[in-house]
Amino acid sequence: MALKLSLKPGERMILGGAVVMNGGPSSCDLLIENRVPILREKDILTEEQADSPCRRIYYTIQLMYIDEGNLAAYTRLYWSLVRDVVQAAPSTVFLIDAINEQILRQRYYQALKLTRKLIDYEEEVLSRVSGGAQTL
Amino acid sequence: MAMQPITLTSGMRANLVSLQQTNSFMEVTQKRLASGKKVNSALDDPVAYFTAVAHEQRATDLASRKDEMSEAVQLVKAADTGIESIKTLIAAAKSLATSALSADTTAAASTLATQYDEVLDQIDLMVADSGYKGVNLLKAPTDPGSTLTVKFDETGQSSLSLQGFDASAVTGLSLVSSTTSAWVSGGAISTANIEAAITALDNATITLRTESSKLANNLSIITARQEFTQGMINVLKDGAANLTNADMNEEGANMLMLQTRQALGTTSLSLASQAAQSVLRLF
Repeated sequence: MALKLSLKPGERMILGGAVVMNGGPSSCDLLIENRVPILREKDILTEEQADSPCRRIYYTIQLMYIDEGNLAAYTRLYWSLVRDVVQAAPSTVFLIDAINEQILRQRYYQALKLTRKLIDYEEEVLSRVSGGAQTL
Repeated sequence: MAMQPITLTSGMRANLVSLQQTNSFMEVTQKRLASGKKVNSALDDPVAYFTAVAHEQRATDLASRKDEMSEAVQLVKAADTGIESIKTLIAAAKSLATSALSADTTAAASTLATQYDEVLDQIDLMVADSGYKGVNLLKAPTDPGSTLTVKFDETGQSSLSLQGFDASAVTGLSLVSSTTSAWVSGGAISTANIEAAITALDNATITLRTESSKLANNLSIITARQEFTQGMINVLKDGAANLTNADMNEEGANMLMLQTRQALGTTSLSLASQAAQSVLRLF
């Protein structure tokens, strides 16, 4: 079954290996008929935005998703990042466990969705510390 | 037909190896989380662990002392209830004696005297029934089961001894039965004897009031110690928890530290391939 996506004027997305932008004046509907990595603009995190431990995890999973050719390198990075986070904040282990499961099944899109929750949790944990709001 | 060998892609293999390395570490973390504590055994941090255990044990010991204290409070209340009822009986006895003073006939006085003796007997029954869990504070101090030592601390060195007092009608409160001190003697009502009985009743009421205030005093001591013990238990439990519980503030601080460390470049993200970089740069 095809996946139907709607793209607003000027909105970008990653579709397979390509970056697609709606250049027209009105929003358009796309039907994607095979399984390819799809990432919408709002779900994309750039390297500059990956400024916290959990955002870095998100960024890494994103790379796994859109650049499967270099999976081995990203995987090593992923596990080292995860290890650091769990060591620093053991209470994240339940969320990270769920993400790991998706990663091992190579369901990166689901892993990304779960990592959103991890980022929210991270913000909560950081907000407990004074100066936690500062960005690096 | 030949079986196809199961092959793993290089990506999956890398995943598996990393997972195996991370697994034991994750297990430890999950165990800690399951118990809500960061120190779970003496091996993790011996000092914190044993200190926490000692705190917990003392808290448990104190909790059992606190239970003993609540039992002591109930004992005192039982004795006080007994005293209140005895006072009521004494008031009844006094009104019987007063009626006897103004009795018209010796027969009427004799009837009142019998009723009066019955009330005195009831006082003794009341005394016998005022015990709580085998201790009766209304029995003579020489009787077994008339004292209770309430232990306050875990060693039992600080304590309060609750001593019974004899509240029985004749031996304890020095009331005189109408047969011993005859209300009717020589065919006439003995006003002097009855008045002596009334005086004895008044004195008994005063004695009971004094004992009642002693009980109230002991009660307030025990209650104060109860509150103190509860406070102490909380302090000990908090102390143990601080030593061993997973601490969200600490986690926050750790995360902040990790963030700083990563920003300083010990963990590099710039291994994104040229292709991925060019894709992501468009956003």
